[in-house]
Amino acid sequence: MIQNILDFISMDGNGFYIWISYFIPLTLFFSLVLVRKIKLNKILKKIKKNEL
Amino acid sequence: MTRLFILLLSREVKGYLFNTNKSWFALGFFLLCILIFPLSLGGSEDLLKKISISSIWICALFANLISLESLFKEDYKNGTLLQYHINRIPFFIIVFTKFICHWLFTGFPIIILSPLFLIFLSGSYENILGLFYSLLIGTPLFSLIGMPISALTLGSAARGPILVFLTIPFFLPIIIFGVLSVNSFSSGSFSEYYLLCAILSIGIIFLPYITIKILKESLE
Amino acid sequence: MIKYFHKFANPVRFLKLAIPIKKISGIAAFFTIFIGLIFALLLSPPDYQQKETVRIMYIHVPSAWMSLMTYGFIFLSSVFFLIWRFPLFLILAKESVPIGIIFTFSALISGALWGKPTWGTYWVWDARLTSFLILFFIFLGLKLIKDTFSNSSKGNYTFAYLSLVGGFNLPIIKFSVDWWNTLHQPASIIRTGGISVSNEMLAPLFLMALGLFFLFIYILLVSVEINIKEKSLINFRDSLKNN
Repeated sequence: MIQNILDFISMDGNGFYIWISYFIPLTLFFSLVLVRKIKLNKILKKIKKNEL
Repeated sequence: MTRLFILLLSREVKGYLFNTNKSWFALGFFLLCILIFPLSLGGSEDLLKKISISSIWICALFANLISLESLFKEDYKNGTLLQYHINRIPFFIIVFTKFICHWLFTGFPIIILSPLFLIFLSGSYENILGLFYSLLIGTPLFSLIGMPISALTLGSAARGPILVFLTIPFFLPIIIFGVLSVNSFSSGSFSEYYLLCAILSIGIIFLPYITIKILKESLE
Repeated sequence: MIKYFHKFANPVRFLKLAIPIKKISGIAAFFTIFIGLIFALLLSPPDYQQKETVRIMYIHVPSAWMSLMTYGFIFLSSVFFLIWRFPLFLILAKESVPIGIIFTFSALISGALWGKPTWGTYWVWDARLTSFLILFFIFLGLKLIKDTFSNSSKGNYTFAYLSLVGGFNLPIIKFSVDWWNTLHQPASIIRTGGISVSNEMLAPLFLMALGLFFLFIYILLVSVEINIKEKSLINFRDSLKNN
């Protein structure tokens, strides 16, 4: 079981390249989404405060 | 119309001649850039011989780039451009005089001096004519492409960095074809020259037109 | 056509339409990318030549496609802005620049990481790679323009014209780099044709592409919403001050 997981992670010895190449773009996408989300929520809050 | 053209042209030329900073800046920058290449190669004659053409092209590019900033700046700042606009002087005359002057004081001296520098950088004698022709077609293109971008960035606070960032990608095709044309000149193929000529003949029609559009937009 | 645009050029009306689309595409992006990742990393078979490294393709190729699509989108909306002068098109174009930067960057990074195990180097001055690097720099230039001019009308036109000129210039750059490349690197390391793509590989590829497309729409619409709401907030404050 553990051996299977380790095999999967190592990917024939090229695991480093594969995991990094998935990790960097996905973190970038996720962080951009997060930044935009936080900004939007801030603005929505401000609008609510102003209208009350 | 012709009188107006000559009048504006002489004004521009005078502006360059009396302002020594402006007229010598590009050429001086070119000379200093050229100086860097042999020094940075650690005295390797072979390497220098190989990259002599490319280094002259690179220096021509940077000399052109660095003088782009002052192309419209002064006339924009002291309101001359606005005065031209109000007095209904056709913009294409202004743009073409600017272009001719810019080329005359940045491209032209480099073209004239290029054979000298090729020998200076221990390049082969066969390439002198090829380099001369390719610079003759290439440097006006640099000026032409730089014009709309210089007009675009007028009035921006961070003009220098923007200008450098935006212009270099647009200069790349020219420098690629320019260097290749010299290399293939000695083997008797002129395809890159024809390509550069094609780009020049398209560019000389459309790029001033775009520049005029942008300048009008920035004055309104 | 113009009538149709007029209807949705009004920011408030646009937002009414955009918010449901945003929500749907956000959910769709999450699920398609999730399923796509499972397919790409677990279910798809390894290539018989490239073995497991072929899995990098499923993130590399979709992000490359998407960065080209983003540039096309910026180009088209700039053209529409210059023709019809609806500010909405400009907002759309401007807000998709950071997304384009991220797509291009991830395509470059994953390409470099794919190159190391398959060709032995991280970077080759190949035509495709070079023109992609230039695309990245053009995106950065657009971002620079967008940030320095802020919201003046001059900056808007600068942005639109620049993306227009860049759009015309990109094919020329591609062509010139191709030309330069064929002369100087006759024995290119990258084989044309590359890997034979089987159906099992197409599934994760298209899933990831679809996921990234939904992600693009989601981020774009969120950014546009931020932009419009921010403007209305500023207008509201100004009106408070005036009273």
